[in-house]
Amino acid sequence: MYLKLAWRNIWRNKRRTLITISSVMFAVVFALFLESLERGAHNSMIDNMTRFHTGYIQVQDYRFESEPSLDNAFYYNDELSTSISGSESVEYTIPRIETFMLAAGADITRGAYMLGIDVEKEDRLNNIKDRLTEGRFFEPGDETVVVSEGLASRLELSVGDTLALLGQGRFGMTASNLYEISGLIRHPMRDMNNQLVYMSLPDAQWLLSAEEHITALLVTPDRVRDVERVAAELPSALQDDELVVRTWREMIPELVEALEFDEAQTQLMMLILYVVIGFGIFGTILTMTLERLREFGILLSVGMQRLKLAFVMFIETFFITILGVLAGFGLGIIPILYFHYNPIVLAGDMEELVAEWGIDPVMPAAIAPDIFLRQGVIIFVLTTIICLYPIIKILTLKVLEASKR
Amino acid sequence: MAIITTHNLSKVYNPETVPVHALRDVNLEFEEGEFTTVRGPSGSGKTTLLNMIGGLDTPSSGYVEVDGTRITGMKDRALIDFRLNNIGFVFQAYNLIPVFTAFENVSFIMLLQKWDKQKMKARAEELLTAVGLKGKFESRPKQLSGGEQQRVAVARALASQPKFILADEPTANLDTDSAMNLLDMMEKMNREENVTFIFSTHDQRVIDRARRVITMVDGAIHKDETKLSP
Amino acid sequence: MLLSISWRNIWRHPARSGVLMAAIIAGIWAGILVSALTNGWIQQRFNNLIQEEITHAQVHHPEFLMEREVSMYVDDAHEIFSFLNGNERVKAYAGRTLSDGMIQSPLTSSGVQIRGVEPDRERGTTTFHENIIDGDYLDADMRNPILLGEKLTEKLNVDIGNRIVLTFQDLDNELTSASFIISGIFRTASTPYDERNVFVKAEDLQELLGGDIYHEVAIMLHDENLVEGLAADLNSSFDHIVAESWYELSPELRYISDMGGNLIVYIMGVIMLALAFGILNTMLMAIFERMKELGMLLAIGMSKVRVFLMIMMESVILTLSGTVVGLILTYLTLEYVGEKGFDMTSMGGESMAQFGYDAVVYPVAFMNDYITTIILVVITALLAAIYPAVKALRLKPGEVVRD
Repeated sequence: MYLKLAWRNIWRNKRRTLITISSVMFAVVFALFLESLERGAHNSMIDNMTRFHTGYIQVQDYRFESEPSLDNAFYYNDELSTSISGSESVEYTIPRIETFMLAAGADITRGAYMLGIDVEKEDRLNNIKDRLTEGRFFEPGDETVVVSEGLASRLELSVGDTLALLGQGRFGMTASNLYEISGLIRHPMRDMNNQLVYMSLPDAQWLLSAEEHITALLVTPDRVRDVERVAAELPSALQDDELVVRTWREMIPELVEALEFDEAQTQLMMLILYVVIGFGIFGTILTMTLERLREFGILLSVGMQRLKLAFVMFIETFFITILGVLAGFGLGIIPILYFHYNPIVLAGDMEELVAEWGIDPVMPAAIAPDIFLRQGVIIFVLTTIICLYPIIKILTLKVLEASKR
Repeated sequence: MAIITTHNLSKVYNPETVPVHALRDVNLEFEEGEFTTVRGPSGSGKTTLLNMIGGLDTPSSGYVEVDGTRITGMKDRALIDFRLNNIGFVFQAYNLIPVFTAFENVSFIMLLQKWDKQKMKARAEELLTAVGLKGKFESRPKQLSGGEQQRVAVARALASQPKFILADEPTANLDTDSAMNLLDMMEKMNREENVTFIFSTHDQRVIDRARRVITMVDGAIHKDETKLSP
Repeated sequence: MLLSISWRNIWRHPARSGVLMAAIIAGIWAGILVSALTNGWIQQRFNNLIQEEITHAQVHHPEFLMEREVSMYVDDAHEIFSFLNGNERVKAYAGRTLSDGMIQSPLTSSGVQIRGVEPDRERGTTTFHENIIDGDYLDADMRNPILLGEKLTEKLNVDIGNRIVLTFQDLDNELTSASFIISGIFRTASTPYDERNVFVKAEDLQELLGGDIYHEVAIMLHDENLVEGLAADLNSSFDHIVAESWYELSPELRYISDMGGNLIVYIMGVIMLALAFGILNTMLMAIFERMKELGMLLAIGMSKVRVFLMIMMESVILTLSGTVVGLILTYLTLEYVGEKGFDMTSMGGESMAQFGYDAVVYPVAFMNDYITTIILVVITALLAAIYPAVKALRLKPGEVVRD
């Protein structure tokens, strides 16, 4: 009965109701859009950093974090790989050995990051094969390397030329050898593009006197959101006290902190918007209440209990809020979808700047149910608090005054 | 010559669904200096007729001439200007600008006509005094009684020096004393300054004072009587 | 008269207008504050970058910045020095010898940019020495002293007094290695910078490279605005070099300096969009409840243009009133916070060190920001009032006046 009264009240003055619904709807659309854009940018940053840099989870020797030296590489064989891959939520693992060396062409010498990799496995994570711009990838044991374009041009080398690598192997052993360049690759991070040398894992292990050792084993979970859970379960699968599991959050704390900072900024902005939007909604509710004071007065004077009237009012505003939030979802999805499929592409100095930090300048909007849920709840709660105003007004209304208006 | 002539004026609302004939072939003439009322039960078409004459509504067929100018079919902007300079309005309610004082309400219409400031002030004072509101120049509508508000409305209607004044149910919201006072005042202006008044009303108090009474029934002229003397 | 009617109309519903004004005040206050904080931050970052390292202008071999070859040094560096000595626009300058190489500790090795500086000149030109957190600057009586970033010492597991080995290519393209002793440790606002740069004495590096060469001349001016003129003079006076201002040198500085001016537009734009809806709704309500009155105005001869103007004016005046209060409040807040600075540490400000920003911020707001805000507010008020005003113009006076 009250429900019916409330529902009919809502549609008695359509214009007023639509204005109120639209202010709630707009708040939802706006909040959704902002957060989806931000989340999208963050996902794209994380995706870049993890795929082209650290991976989601790494298994390392426990000393490697503080002393990233080949001395702290660890023993790796198929058994280890199988025991980890056997875990339910793990999709696959990728072994890597990496160190810093000097790379030299005919005249010029440069510092370079040497990465010993398994191309097939690496390709599953970051499509490394697609980024080959010239030549082919090496086969294990053929003593060829793939060099990043930036480094090759600095060393004035191209496919077929010879590259000398010089550095320190495991336990201070000298590591030096000559390699034919079998291919060139373009790395999306500028810094990396200027200093990467890829080699097959066995060749690298031999060069560095680190046979059957790797510095890191990357673990890719089935679902990205399971990273923390998988990382927590891994140590029991490893059964090795000297190995530790690190997630990208631990490996790139700067990124995590920068994201957190950015999130804090966005949240501050959101807070401002909630206040501004909240006042807007309040203005609408206030007007609605004042317009209806006479009606309230009449209802009270003919004998409707205050609490009952307040209850009807509560249901009314509840309906309006729900309708506003749902309408906001419906309308909000449109710009989000648009920017999901037509990502914002940074240009100019901004592009140069993010490229320097190793971030892809393409930022699609994220489509995440939890954003809808959270913003929906926030705006709902905000509106419900605002809607306490008419209820308080009803509870404190002086009947005679109101019905005379 | 008549200052207002209506030619076969007809108005049909909702012609497609449920046609309501608000006016049927109304042919009327009004002379300068008339003190006339259009009477009839509600729904008889008297307000529609006044709206047509005032250029607030457009007829379905037929047309209205004011002082030789055919106002039916005039462009919106031209019509607004025409109303401003030729017709004064007094409405039943909602007649004053609530945020303005009595003085400002009367001045406003002269401001729209771009009067000289000094003259405007003088005329507003003169008119308000004439309608008996001396000393209430600075009152806002809310602070005035219903009768006083209608006096301001009459003063405002006169301010633009219109050819005639249309008053739609001017006394409907007034008690007898106020209604009588208002009518006295308007009658005096009609007599002394030859201001033309056309009322629409079913208020007997107004009908008794009018010199010409037009009775409408179902959108048509039922009777058109002119009293020889009040 | 129109103005006065608009103004009074606003106050017919003091509560409703008050709420909207409160929204505007809150929006403007918060918006400008956020913008001022960010601007302050940017300004600090800007000054850091300019004063610690980039300086107002730099001279290089035309291809050095792209290729970073040791052999691409500045021709006739000493003639440029004397040119700068005699130039009254120049406050200070310093030559730098640069090389990319490898640093090795007993534990591990890493790639670094080796920056050979002249300690006295560098001190006079930049404020980099203020970043030393431990040990001494390069002028210690030490053979081959070197400064390392804190982050790099952690990575290499070394400390003051330890020896490290630098390996790089000399002018004859031969690999040369030399050991250096860590004399000091620095920490700048940027962790990646600390990990990738080491400082040695220019003369030590020149000896190892095999020539009295400089790759970079950094120049500070008395007045930053004269930088383009000085760069042009240098470029026309000397061959085989290129002199550039900071604006050309650093995409980050360029971005920062360009964005700084527009920041207020972005932030206030977002806030205004949110406000626009509040204004739209308030104006709509104001129009709807006044339909009869507006009809009367049209009936007695007020033109539609005037009615339209009146509604627009109402929206603008209402919004501007809130804006004025908001701006005054903002100004007072900034006056108060401006001196003390605003500590962002609790809000995650520490992590911005990664990108080279300080945690304590001194907000900066320019007159321009206030003016931009006012312009944006007026535009918003006008745009938001168009729909309600058009709605009002669709009125048919005859229908509205009847009751």
